[in-house]
Amino acid sequence: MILPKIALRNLSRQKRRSILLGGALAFGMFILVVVNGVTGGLVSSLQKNFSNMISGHIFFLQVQKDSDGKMIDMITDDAALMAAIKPSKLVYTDLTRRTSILGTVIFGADAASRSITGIDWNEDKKLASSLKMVAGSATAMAGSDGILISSTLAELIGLLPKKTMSYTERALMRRDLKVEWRAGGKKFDLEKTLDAKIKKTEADLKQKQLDTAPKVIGETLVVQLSTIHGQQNVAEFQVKGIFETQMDYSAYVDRDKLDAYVEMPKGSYNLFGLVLKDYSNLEAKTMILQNLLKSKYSLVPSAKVNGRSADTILGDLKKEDFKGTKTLITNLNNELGSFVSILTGVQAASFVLFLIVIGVVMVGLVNTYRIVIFERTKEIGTMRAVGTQRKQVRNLFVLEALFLALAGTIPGAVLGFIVLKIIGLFKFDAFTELAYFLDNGHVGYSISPVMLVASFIMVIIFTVLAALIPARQAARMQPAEALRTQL
Amino acid sequence: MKKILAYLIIALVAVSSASAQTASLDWNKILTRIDEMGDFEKGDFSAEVTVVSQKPGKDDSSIVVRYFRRDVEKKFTMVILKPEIQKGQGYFCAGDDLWFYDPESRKFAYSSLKESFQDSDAQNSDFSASSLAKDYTVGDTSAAKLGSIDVYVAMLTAKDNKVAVAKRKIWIRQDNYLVLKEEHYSVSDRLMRTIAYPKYQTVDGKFVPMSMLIVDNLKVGEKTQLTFANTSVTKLPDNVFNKDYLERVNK
Repeated sequence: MILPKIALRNLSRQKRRSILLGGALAFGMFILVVVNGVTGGLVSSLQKNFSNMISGHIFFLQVQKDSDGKMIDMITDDAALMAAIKPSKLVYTDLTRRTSILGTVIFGADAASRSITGIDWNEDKKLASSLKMVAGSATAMAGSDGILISSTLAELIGLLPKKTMSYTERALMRRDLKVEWRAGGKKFDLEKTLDAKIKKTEADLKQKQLDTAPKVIGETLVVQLSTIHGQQNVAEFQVKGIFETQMDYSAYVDRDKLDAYVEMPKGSYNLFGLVLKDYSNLEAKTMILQNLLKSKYSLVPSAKVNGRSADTILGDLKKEDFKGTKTLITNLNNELGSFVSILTGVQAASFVLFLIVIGVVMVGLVNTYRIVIFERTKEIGTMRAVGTQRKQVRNLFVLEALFLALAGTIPGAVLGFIVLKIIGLFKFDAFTELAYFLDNGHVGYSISPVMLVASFIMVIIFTVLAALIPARQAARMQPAEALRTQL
Repeated sequence: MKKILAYLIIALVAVSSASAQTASLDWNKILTRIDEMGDFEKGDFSAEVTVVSQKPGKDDSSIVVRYFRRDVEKKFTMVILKPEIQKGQGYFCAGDDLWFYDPESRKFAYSSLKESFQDSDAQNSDFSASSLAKDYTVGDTSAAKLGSIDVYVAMLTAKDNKVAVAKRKIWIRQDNYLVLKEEHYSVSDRLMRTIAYPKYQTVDGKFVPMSMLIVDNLKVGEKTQLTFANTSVTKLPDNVFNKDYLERVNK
């Protein structure tokens, strides 16, 4: 027990040196925690937002070719799939069977392309309650010709007035205010006044939109779309509700109504989604389903699926000459593709940076311990002379290094977590382009416990190793020679 | 009462005779004739096409393209000449396959004949040769007047569900069967587009519209005008009708 006490005392004797070395280790740990935490959070939010949007983590699609070789995207046989879900032991919170097509939503002179998703409202009950309605209602959609659209889409097609100012409008406001400011002898704070004015204007615009929204319920929207055979068709839907969302992806209608417009048989659909409770290790979980179903369907091989989006795979199938039905089992990570790859790359880069920082610190540690041992030669000689064993001398220096590692990495990690929490408090609403990566406008964080523990262990091992060589040299010193040394 | 009955009888006879007049026509031959009138099956056709789009609340947009067509191989190539920002972009179509070329990225993107041409009311399929006889059967027909011109009106229904436009109503001149007006209907019988062909020009014995006016009946106020100029039937090199041509013109 005395060795740890001596080690701690020795560290506190050279405070500046200990703080510098510990600080360097803390910095490395801080960088690792913050960068990995942020990128992990971005990936996690991206997966969560996309899975909410397209309702699923694992997807099942089927395509077949008609007599002219045209590919039709429609699930005609899901019996084996439904039977396989229970033996797969995949824990899921929801299961969705939807028809999703691309259409142009038209209101008067304005139009916007959008995904139109047909929902079986009697089966897919979570969607109605998950939508944040600002007007109308998501109930009573089953069997109706109603459509639920986002407020973003409503603004685009001129159904609702905009709730934010455009860049041009802000620039014009700034220009006019500047004129006023100059004319008034620059007596007020231009930037603060402008910010306040913009805030008030946007608050008024938002209120105007909220007041207008209930009045547009019942308006007729025209949707231009194509049947599954490629014929042009036009559908009419009545606006039943408008919802607020950070990510405007789709408008929602009754699946049977949509199937009729695209000439799909009643009850059919083209996208099956499984919403998992835990969406880590998606590849392994997708593989489970693939293995269970490979004898039941003609599956697209997983080598052709991994890392590729469904659109790319369907594009390849279009060029292939096949008969019958091809089935594709894919997952969210394949859809997110390059996003996840880039963020995973950033995480890997931050780990490499961490290793570089640790490497540099290790070189510094080796040199520092050499100097420390040189400075404490007489002390080592005295300790050996009074009976301290070589092993104890070595362990003393190793313990000092160990405490230094702990004193550096733990505060570094804690500071990293604090910074992540602070970053998470800010809302990045203005950056609508980042909506996919944010959790309700905030930057989330997620760190793999395995990576964290592995990093701690790595620092400790490297620090101990850095001290070990000089420590062994110190242990081998002859007491008499050590005591004779003049410094 | 007698007068009303008399007028009714006269109207009935007029309609019957108009229907009888059109019912006696061989509509399959007429559709074939319409296709042949615009089909340059013996050679190539090229023209400079100006596409002007009008959308409410926006400035008119204008695109000029050089258009090459070889009907015997069912191919066409288009290269955008103006505006400057889009110069060099192009389309190549072979049969039902269409590619768009972007010289900036030097990549081809697979497109569709059913898609709109450069965000206008024209569709890519408007640039390929007519195939009414192959794709449609004729339903109700009648004789009528379009302005001062005697026309036949026919309702065409697609023979199968792979033809992009499910129904078309055409107004054709009674004397030479030139199409003067078309209406395109969706599967749900909704009017989608109206196309007028006010004037034709004769090129090597074939008829090419000098202009086409397309009205989008779904988006209020949107219309597009196509004007064909500098037409030619000079034989074109074979290498104009492949994807490489679009890359070569941009080198």
